[in-house]
Amino acid sequence: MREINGYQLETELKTTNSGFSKWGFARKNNRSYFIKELIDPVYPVYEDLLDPATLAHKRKICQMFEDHNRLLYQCINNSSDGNLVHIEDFFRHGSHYYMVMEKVDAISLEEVRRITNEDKLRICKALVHCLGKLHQNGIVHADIKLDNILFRRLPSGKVTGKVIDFDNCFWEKQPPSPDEEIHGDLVYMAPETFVMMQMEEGTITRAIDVFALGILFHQIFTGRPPGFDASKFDYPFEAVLGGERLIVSPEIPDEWRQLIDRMLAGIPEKRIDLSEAEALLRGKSTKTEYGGQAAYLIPAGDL
Amino acid sequence: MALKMTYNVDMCFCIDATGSMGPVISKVKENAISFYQDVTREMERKQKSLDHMRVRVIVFRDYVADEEPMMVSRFFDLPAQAVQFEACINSIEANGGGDEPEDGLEALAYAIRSDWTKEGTKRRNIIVVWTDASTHAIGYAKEQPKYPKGMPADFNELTKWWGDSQMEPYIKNAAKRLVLFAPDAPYWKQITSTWNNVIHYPSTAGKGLQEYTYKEIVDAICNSI
Repeated sequence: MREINGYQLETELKTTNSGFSKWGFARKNNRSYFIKELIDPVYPVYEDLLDPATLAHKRKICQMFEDHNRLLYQCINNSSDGNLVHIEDFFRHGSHYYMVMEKVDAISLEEVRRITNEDKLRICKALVHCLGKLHQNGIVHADIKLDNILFRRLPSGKVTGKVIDFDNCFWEKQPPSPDEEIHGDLVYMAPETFVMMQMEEGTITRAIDVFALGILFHQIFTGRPPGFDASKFDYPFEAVLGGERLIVSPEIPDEWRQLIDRMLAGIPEKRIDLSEAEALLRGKSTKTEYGGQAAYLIPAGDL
Repeated sequence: MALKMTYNVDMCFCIDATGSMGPVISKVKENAISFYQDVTREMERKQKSLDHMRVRVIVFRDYVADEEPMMVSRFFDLPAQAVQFEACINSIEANGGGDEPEDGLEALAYAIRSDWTKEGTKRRNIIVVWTDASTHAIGYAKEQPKYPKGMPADFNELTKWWGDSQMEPYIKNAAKRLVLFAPDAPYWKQITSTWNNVIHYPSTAGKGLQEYTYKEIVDAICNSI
């Protein structure tokens, strides 16, 4: 089996369950890792096939990508409380870039469906916390979905979830331009992402993660996305833009139902922020009625 | 503003129809014909929808050795024109080829210059190449009477046609994918090591498209949506 930069592949890299990147498992220093080969950009190694200008142009793209992603991955690792999968390595080997992450022994989705409500609550709280940390550090994940959460059983028997796949992450201060195609799963797409793609104007923020997390939480609790008129719309964001309010199932505990409802707000500014969500789950709100951040302030009464 | 997401997929199948492809061509044709149904079935399973799919076919051989070195079709709308598409695919016969390298790069040049759809909120423009042979350098046969005008002068120019994140003359960078079912030989391996958005499944002469590989391709297309 091949070796890539000291990582001995355990399986040949494949695209199974992946949107065109190749991945597999590898070993180094007696540890197993998840390894992913990225398909864009590609570093040109056949120097005699390209003229100097084309070669320089392509290598400059690679250098920019490398600098950008090295900083991004470092910041993701720094944001992690253990619920973001750890990025162990990022390097170029020949013409391709590779990401190496810790290997997580995940349980199947079938098993996830059977976990206790207590586990579900703990997983959702942990996801609110770890994505909130990512947001505090200025990073938007931009591809939150069930497939990107690995559920694992702790030695105690409890189940927890880890966020994976940082391919679509961006700095909130440098969002994708409106004419760029936004990758990400349509089932979890926020309404403003679609509006930006359709109108080629506007911007997206951390609020897109909150919307996706609302859909995901609904799936964790009920096994399905929130309700909408499926005879009119294919995806939740279409229903929201069509004027529907997504229906959060009464099966979900009250506190979480209200939270999910606020996560699924159509207007991003009205969507709950994860720092507020976390505070609410701890039993205290830092947000006043009028929606501003409050520190030692209460609404003013009559004089 | 229309509130519906429209997802349009254009595919261009480049099929090597030289004699050596004889043992595998029927499998390639079978895969090509079932592609639409397999992709839509997988999309439904993932609760996603595909609004519009078109497929065109490029059949390539060798400009030096063959009477019909390059044949192209227009895009067929699927499923509406499935009958015509199937007839087109079924008309392909493996013959000719001359020496072992074929003219796959010229086929890619035609594929890149396809009349890709500009409609749809999301688009995928996918080129799939099936071959068991290496390729000549582009322009190897440029003295031949049937060699077309307007081909890239060299690999450098063809590379520019494919483009990158900052340069997309003919095909949108975010939309494009190139799937190679080709041997790890010139110039396929040079493409894999130079162009972005390429997935290469190395093939062995005389062996068909393995079932797992075909499923991987269908899966990859559905997962990239």
